[in-house]
Amino acid sequence: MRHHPAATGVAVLLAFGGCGGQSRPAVIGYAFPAWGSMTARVAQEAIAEWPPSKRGVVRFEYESLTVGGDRPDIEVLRAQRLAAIPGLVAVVGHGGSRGSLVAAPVYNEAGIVQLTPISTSRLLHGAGPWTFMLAPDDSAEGAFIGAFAAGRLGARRATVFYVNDEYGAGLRDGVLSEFARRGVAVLAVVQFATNGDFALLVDAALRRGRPDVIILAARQREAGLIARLAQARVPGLRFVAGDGALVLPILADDAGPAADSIYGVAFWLPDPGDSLDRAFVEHHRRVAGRDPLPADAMSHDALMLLATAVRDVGPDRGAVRTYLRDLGNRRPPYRGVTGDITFRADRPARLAMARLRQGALVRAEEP
Amino acid sequence: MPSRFRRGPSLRMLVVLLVLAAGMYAGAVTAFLTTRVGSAAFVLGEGTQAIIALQDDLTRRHEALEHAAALVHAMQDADHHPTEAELNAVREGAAIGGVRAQVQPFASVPAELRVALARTDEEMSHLGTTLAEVVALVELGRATGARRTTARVDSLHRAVDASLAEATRLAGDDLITRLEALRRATRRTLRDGVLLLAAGILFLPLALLVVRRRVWAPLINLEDGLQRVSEGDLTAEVPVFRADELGRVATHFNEMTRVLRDRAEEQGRFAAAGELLAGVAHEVNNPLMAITAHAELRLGDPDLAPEQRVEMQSILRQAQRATKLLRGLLRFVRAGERRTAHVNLNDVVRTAIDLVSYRFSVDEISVEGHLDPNLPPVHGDANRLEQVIVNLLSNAIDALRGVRPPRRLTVDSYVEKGRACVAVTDNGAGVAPEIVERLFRPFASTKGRRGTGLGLYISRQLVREVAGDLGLVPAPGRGARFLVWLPVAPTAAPPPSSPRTSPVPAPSVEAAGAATVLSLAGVRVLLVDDEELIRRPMMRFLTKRGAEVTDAGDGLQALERLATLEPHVILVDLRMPRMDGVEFYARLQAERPVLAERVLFLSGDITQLAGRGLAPVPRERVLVKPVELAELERRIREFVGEAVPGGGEGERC
Repeated sequence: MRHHPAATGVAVLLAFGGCGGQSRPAVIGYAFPAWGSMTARVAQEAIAEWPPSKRGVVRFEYESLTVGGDRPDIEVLRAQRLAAIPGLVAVVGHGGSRGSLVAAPVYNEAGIVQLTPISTSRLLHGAGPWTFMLAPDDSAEGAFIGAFAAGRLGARRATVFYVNDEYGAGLRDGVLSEFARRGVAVLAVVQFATNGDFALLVDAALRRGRPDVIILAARQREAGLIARLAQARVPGLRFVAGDGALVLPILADDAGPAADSIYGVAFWLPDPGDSLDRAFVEHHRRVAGRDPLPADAMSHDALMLLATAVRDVGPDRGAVRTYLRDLGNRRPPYRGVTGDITFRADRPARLAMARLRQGALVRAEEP
Repeated sequence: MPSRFRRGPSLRMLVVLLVLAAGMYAGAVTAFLTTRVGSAAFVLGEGTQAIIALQDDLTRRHEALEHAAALVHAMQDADHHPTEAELNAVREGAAIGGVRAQVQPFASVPAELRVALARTDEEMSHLGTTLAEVVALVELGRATGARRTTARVDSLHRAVDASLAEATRLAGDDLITRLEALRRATRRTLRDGVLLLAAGILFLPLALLVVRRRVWAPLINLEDGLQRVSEGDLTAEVPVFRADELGRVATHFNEMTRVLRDRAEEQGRFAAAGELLAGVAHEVNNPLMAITAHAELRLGDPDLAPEQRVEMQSILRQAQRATKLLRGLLRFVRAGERRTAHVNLNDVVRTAIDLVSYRFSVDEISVEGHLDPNLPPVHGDANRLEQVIVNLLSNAIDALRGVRPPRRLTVDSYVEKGRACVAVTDNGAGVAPEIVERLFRPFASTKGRRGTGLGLYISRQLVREVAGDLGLVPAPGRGARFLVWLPVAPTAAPPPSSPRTSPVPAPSVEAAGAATVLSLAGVRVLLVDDEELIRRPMMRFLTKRGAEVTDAGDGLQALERLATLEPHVILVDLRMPRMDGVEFYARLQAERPVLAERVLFLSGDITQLAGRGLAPVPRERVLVKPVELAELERRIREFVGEAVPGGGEGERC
């Protein structure tokens, strides 16, 4: 989960006029922090490469809903404004778990499909029948982090920092559960706000003991600051962060010298041997001017999946919902950049561990 | 159906429409009530559930935060460093209060409530993290910072309280709004329910009216008509108003009663003719009896000249022929109740031909054909089958009269496919193709005003009653060919049949003039008949046979004779003036029953043997005039032998 302090809620409206021979324009909302707005352009360019008969009319609209962060009350207002757009079929978003959770009732009440690309709170499973999660939930991610810390890093004592929202709390619970199972001692569990006094919190936490590893259930900026502060006090400390921290270059910049000690969970890492990955990376570089991050790939897949659904079954909310439910059942899985996509309960959690090397993400050895 | 009747939806369609209307009414009322009240109640229930769930979570968090804040204040006021347990308690409260533990229901709640709840959620998170910071400051011994941050905790706590109060107010308002909506829906439903009920009450009489007019009334009319018919009233007619199913049933009913009425009228005329014929027959039989008796007496005279003998034989033969014809006619018109038995169709054919034979010579018709001597018997009523054949013969004769001679009527009997068949063929003009299809329907006649149009129809019904059939089959060459076939009777020996193979009738002539034998010697006979012309030859004949004959002109006279006479046999005519045979017999039964047992009856009415109109006398003792004298002698001899043991000796009264 990422949080940009000055995140701008951006709704990207993909209007499909006459898409696939249909005359009604279909609108797909995209509610995401401002840094992800480029993803919409990448998706737009991808749709433009469809055969003319299927391409239809694609139109992007950036609607800046508000400026001032993803406070839950603001996220509710974003969701309500999106739901009021005529012809809206589905929404990709919101960015964080808390935003997705507070927005979910708005969409479900209106029968609008909500596809969350990177939200991981397990509470989303019960958010409503029209809410679909693309990423694995925090129980799987927390277990993955705990297993990596204990197994790959050999940690016997750990301290957990978590951002005080559904993302951080959910990841905290997942990690603590795995640590308990593996016998890892937890020295401190520290909650913080995005504007908290991190030095104070780090000092207080380290006073309770020197951990082998610090778990950062945090977003990029807080994770970087805490890592920098902690390693300054205890050199050699290693950090394992949740997926929300892997936003570059912010993480690397804020972590400073501690950056290379940070591992982070990624839902996708480019595989040079995979032609689809290579094509996506090249496409992203060309359109966005930078390498894609895991969140970019997840959002791209979400946007393209919904665009494909509208193309195939028309701009009908119920039909799109059925389309998503049918993936892996009556329909073959959707082949996305991040892999085959279904929403079956038994789908495998695609998780990879990355680490920073000189400001870039590289694949870490599996635990 | 005639077009004069009103057309409309059929009865079946009407029933379907009524059921559909009733179903739709019931469904609509149910759906309306469910939707109107149910949706409002659902909204209220859903909102209540959602708000309670949200409030529960927020209250739980709020309580945890309040507890943590209280602990922080207690730490500030305490004169000792807080213990780890106290710090952990604050951390735990902050953690619980900082983040939701359950998902927010997606029930429909007002937007501003959703925003207020989200704001409260966020402020609780801030309060939680601030409390955690206080703990960190206390842990690090930074008392000043801790107090400053605690003040911020208080500020945030107030903000949380305010947000929570605002959210609670909004939630309460929302619930009240939903409750009001439910009340309004209930009031509207009550009002609309009354309207729907009224509509239903209005619909009910309308439906009843339709049912009454379309179903009830026609059924009552039909039932009434059926009852009248069952009581014998064939004039019953059911009114027809519509061209629907019941209208068609009523039309068919009226057609049926018309057919039955016409048939009954026809049968009535037929019965009247039969009655008339019976009367005529009685009057004719007496002279015939006299002629026959005289002729027989004359033939019994050995001194009769040959030429006179031939003349007497001719007289006797013609009288016998007339007798036979008369009997046949009487039997034909007064068939009485159906009596089925094994019947030889050849005999039926011969009798029928006898009945219509008088027309053959008049109309120059030659009768041909072959009657199979081995024709097996069939099971049926001989009289009715005779009626069928007579009808076919009459039709053929009528048809032949319309063509020039030679006119041929061919009657064949044969066995085919296990059935006994009789074919009546003529070389007339044949049946026109346009008539063939309706030939066997009632009132289909080719004879114009002369025909009733019921002959073939009734004939076919009579044949079908005994599992046979009657049809028109292709004739060999010109003309018409009607075929009657009947299943062969399963068992029993065939009834005696004349060995003749030709259907042409030939009246039998009994050899008269047999040698005189005193076969009735010693038998006392009382002959009671008002006809002198009959009494005299019979007395002469019986006397010649050795009987002692006393005569009387009527029943009263006979009773007088019986005062001094004790006869072995009393021959009594049934029809007599003053006292007829029936009354006489009754008197004897009452006064002298022994003598009553010695009565033989004479009657000129064949119907006395046929069943209907039977006089209250023993049938086996009725001799139908004209009785041949030899037959009379035989019957008296048999009767005396049965009733008077010891032959002519008799018993004393």
